[in-house]
Amino acid sequence: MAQSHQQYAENLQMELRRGVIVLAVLSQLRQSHYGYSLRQALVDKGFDVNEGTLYPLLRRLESQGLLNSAWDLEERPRRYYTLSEAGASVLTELKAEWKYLGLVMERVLGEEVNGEQ
Amino acid sequence: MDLIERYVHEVGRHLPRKQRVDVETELRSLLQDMVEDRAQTKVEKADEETIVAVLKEFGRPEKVAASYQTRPHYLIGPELFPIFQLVLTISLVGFVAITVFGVVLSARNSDAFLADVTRALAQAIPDVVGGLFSAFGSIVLVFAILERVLPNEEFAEEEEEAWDPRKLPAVNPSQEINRGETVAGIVFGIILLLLLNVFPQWAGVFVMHDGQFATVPLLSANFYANLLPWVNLLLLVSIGVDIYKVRLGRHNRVSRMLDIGVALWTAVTIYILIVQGPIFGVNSALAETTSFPQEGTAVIARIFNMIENIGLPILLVLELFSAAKNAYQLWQMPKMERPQSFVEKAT
Repeated sequence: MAQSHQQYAENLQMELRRGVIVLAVLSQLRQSHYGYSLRQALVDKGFDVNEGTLYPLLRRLESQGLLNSAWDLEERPRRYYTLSEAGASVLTELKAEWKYLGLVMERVLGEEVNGEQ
Repeated sequence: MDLIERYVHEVGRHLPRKQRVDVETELRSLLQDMVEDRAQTKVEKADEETIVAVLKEFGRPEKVAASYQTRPHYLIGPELFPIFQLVLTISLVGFVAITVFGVVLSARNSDAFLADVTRALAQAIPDVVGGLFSAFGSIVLVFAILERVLPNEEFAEEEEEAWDPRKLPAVNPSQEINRGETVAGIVFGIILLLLLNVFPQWAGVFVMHDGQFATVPLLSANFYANLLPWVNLLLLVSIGVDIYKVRLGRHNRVSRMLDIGVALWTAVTIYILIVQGPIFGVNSALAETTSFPQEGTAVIARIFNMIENIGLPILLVLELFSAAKNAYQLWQMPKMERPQSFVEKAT
């Protein structure tokens, strides 16, 4: 079944967002979070992310050595994630890349740079 | 609460045992957090609608479990799939075609040709369906094994930095190994091994006898008693060489020498088959089938005599030609490497 233009646009938007999820997640894990509190922190800042995407991603980032994790077994067992040393270094690089891309894309799209006409 | 447990258990069922308990514990706690936040009450007191809504939002258990997997789990991956489709089509269509051919040939002199053929084909359906399933299963199994044995080209990405464009081989398609052809060779080799050793009852000609569907063994008792070990050995070596070649991707001296060896060995095996034949036993087996039309037996005898007396010698010559061609390609190799070393010296 052929997709409508609207569906294509939505899929592309999702792809675009997917590309920045790692950056958003790493940025919030300078302080320790468990899965649900991390999602809330992201949502509070306007970054809505599907749980089914976020929680497996945390596992993958941990297996890649970018996050550390530890169980807190008091009351409800919760797994807390924080940035590892490697994760902090990757975050710095990703942030720089994001800023650079932002500037470049503004130029490419022909829009205002730094709020000036 | 019971719904959450059932959901967590279902996700866990689709996860590797190693990570199951850990993911289940975390998932349960996450779902409980979500439900409590939505219902603004303890999870034990939350109403079913809220729990259902949360679980629906999370997604189907199989899908969630799949997203926890680090690598896609293919039985047959996208790279091998086109070759798999080709081999499968050739094998299944070939199997049905041979069956229909056998039935039509054996009924060709019947007074009620159409009725006999239709009846024989109808009787053959259960056997044919069984055979098709066996063939399908064997081909899937072989490809699933190849998927795990052959190198994954994604791993090459790790060696990106060590890659040097100046070391690219000279353009010479004759030294490239055709992955599709070689994989097809491996699969057909394995199918032949299985057919000759595990399912010899399928290595037969399907005929109609007294209005009944019957299988007449294709190969002679002499073949199974004296010649099969030679053919098995050749097939095993040939499959081994083909697997090595697929992993290699491009001919080197060793693969060329192995190809020459296999071609010569095939020629020797064919010579043994010719000298120590007959290899086909279908003629005498048909003759023993009482009431099978004499003329039908004669036609089939002519076909198999032709294959044995003309086909095998032609194959022998082709194998010798293949050995000579590989020897020529081997001889060409140093010449092709010269321009590259020249470039290296110049830089």
